[in-house]
Amino acid sequence: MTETRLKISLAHLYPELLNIYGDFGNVLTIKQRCEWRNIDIEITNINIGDKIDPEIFDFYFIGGGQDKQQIEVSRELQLQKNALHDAMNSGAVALGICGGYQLFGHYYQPHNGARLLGIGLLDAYTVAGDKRFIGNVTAKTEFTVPKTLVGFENHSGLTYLQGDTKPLAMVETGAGNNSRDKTEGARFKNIFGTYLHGPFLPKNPHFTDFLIKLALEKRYRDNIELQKLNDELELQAHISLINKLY
Amino acid sequence: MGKIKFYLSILAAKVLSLLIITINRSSGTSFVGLVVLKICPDFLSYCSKYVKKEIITVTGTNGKTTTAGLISSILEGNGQKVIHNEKGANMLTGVANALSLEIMPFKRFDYYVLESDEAYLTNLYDFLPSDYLLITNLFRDQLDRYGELDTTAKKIQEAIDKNPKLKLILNGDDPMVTNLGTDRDKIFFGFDKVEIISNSIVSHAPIENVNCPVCKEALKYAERFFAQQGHYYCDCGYRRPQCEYSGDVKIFDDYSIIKVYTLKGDFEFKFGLIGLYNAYNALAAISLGLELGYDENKIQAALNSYQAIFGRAEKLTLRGHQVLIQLIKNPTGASEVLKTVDLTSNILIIINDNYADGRDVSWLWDADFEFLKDIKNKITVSGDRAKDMAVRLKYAGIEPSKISIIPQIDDAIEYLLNSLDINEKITILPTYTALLKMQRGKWRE
Repeated sequence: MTETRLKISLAHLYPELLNIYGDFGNVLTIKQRCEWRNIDIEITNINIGDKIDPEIFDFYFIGGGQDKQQIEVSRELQLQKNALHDAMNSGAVALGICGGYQLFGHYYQPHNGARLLGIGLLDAYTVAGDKRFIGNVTAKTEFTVPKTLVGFENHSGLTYLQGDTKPLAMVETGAGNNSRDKTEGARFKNIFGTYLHGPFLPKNPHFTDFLIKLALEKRYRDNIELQKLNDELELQAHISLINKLY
Repeated sequence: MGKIKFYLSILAAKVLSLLIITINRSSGTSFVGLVVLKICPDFLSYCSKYVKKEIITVTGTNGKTTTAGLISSILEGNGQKVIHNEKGANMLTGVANALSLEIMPFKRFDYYVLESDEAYLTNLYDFLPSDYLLITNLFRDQLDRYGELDTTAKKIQEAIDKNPKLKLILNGDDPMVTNLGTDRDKIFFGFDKVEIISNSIVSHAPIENVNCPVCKEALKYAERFFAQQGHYYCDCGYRRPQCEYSGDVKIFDDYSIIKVYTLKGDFEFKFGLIGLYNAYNALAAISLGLELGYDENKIQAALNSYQAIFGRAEKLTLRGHQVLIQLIKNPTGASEVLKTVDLTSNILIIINDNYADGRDVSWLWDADFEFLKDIKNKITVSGDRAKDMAVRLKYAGIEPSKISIIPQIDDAIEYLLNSLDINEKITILPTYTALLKMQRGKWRE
């Protein structure tokens, strides 16, 4: 019996606008870690004006950007809101980093001016803060082993979670969502958001694999075990960043 | 009282530099400046009396050091006395350092050529207003330091606003730069035509998505040369300006031919530093040289004699090995360097994450390290973020067995010098503070 090759289909949302913190590296990491396991991965760039078909994709990625680009994406996402809610309800995985994370919530409220609307995949909202949090972050999550997540934050927005949306992790070093409640990032169903970049996935290979596994399980509706890879270099980098000076 | 402190600080500078030279032969790029500003916090405001002609400042993300170096080389080639903070030390202490070492109570200079970090420009102008400001470009660089690109533009604008008589020399091909100093008289330089006549590959570094600084819509391009530089236009009417110093450039493998069209006539220059980004630096310096009325033959002579300072493309021979050192500091600049890197050489990449390097190393993933994937030799990675760099190379398609990690910079260089056969070439790609550290390496002896 020949085994059929596994496959996942990933939508990279608005890469031309939201690509500011090496976000390409996150997508590259997902791609390489699939291919090293002979899992086929099809990556589709979704740009302004493209209609999202939730039947097609198992995995959505959205990065961070500057204010102007974020405004443009916010406008476009309103048109794709229903499709993305359908995707969420079908168990699709989504990862939003920084600005993309904020747009997964209900809104971003700047100091002056109109609210920037999100799409409410996460029961979360963001308000402008007075201080910019810039530095290395170490946080602990319950979702993976090892539990540590490392990255670099750079944001002034303060994000608050409510309802069934839970933190992705709790910070040990760094500010996290709002510097008050120690939470970092968010999860509801398979929708994930985080302020960590650096980029996030290359230095957290265990978390990348966790997302790949969820995406495969969404596609095949079955429990799937990933083949182990040699992560010596990635783990060395990961360990060197744990509790690094903020 | 202030004056006494000023003379005292000058004296301290000379004594200190003598001491530093005796102790370890390095020039201590900012230490003297630090002490000088401690003794006399408004040191810089006294310095304007010691210049006869003009104070020129150069700022921008990339190419400051090369452009400022070329300008002072042009001025010196024309017999002018110049003070220039030539070690790429471009924060206030670096400027104070350079001035305090040169200034003498009864000596006057013709020009100061000051390279300034974008964020420190306002601060510098508080003490020492300039006559000219040349802006090379505004790229995504060290984002974590200043927040975002727009913040940097605002900081430069504030500096311009503080300095009403400032003459602006701007890169007309950069949409983020052209708009600065909105209603001032501006002189623009830019390329009409760019021809690449080398076999180098086209970069796939992410194209900067630039919005119009006036109406915030996405900019369109009739031609795009490099990152966001080119012939941009917008429906609101914002567009690349007519350039007073416009040029055509042919980029060859190891030099460029730059033709400059001006009201005073057309001139042709040959420039020996590689890549379009260096051709922009040369065009900037040529434009200022011509604007100040210097002769084109003398400008050409200065271009010829210009040595890429401070390792920004330093060639040396060490224990029989040809060594090329090229600074990398942001995705666009790094990709340009990687595109032309010698794949038969032994590459050492040194990544630090100190404040001056940018503490966030995300940019490594926006630079085209994929250009290295067919390399035969091992690649060595070093510096505080050697391990992050190793991961980047792995995901660029390089076998982990071909990556060696040696975090200590001196150890990594010693290792290469000792383990390689004589005649094997070495290419070193350090970030800024790694390069600084390398200036003091014992292996140089």
